[in-house]
Amino acid sequence: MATIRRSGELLLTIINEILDFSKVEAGKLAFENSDFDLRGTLQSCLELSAGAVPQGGVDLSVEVHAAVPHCLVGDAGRLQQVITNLLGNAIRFTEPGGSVRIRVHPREKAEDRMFLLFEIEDTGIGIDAETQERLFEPFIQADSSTTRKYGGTGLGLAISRRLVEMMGGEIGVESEPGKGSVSHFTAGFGYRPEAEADPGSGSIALRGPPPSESGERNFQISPSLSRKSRRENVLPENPVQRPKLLLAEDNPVNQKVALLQLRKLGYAADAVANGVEVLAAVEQIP
Amino acid sequence: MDCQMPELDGYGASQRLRQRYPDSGLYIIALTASAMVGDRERCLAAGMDDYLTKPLRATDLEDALQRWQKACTHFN
Repeated sequence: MATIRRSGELLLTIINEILDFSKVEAGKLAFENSDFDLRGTLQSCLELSAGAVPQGGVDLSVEVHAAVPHCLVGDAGRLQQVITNLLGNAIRFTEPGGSVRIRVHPREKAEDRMFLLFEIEDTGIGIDAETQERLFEPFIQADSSTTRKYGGTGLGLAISRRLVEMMGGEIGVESEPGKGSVSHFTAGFGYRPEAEADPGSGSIALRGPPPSESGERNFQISPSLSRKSRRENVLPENPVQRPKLLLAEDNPVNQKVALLQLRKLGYAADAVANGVEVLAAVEQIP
Repeated sequence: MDCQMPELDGYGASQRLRQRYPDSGLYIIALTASAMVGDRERCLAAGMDDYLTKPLRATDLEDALQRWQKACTHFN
């Protein structure tokens, strides 16, 4: 069953990537421009990528500089696509026991637009200089044996590059074979001054903690999200100031699809896989 | 809440949630692959508030979430 599921998932990824790539190439990719919570988006990226973490675990963490606004304006789905792609690669090429870090820093700030630098650093196998140059071309992988060992379609990075360019940024990678890689990109977003960022009105928190004020501190999601712990992982902060959602769905593909759909609608959700876990999760709500 | 799950299914989990937290603002949306007659009633009888069938469509999900928001505002 697991194999069928995995194959189906991979096929779905390939189809989606080819569709996306042809849309990007045809210049037909629509970009949304709506408010989103960057920290919530990053959390979704981690949740989506946690499934790729090998047995034994890889330490995943996120650090967002305190000067990065909470509410950005742009296409959260496309940003998420780029990050999950780079994150997926980083995890795929990192051996158990290694670590993958996401860092987000402010770059340039214009009146109503802000450029952010995203870095995804891993302790993986690294990439040689020659391959680094070709990496963002379609259908390039480090070498053809890579596909068999690590999977992937070879389209993800090419799509990511186009998406980043559409967000007014650049993408690149620095790496030394054997020592790991840092892939990075810049992207521009609209932003709201912090005073207006609090959605307050119309917030209809069902149950759960009030949104915490964390303006001064860097936002961190850690410690490691390993295969074992990710379901129980309760984040200290409410990433999106919306009601708390819990998704109960045992099929991992359906779970991912539902989480993505929720994400697109602006909702963050925790996910569990059976009724017992539902009861346990509800019990934890203060 | 997926209705068909191992260990404790969605019906059982909903019943227990209603027993344990009778006055909570919990809102449960059922998610089921079986679009059979009487299925909706079964979900509601188990204590769920709304009902969606698989495959889950984004528009249906959005509508359900809006019904939920309305229910919450009404509740307050």
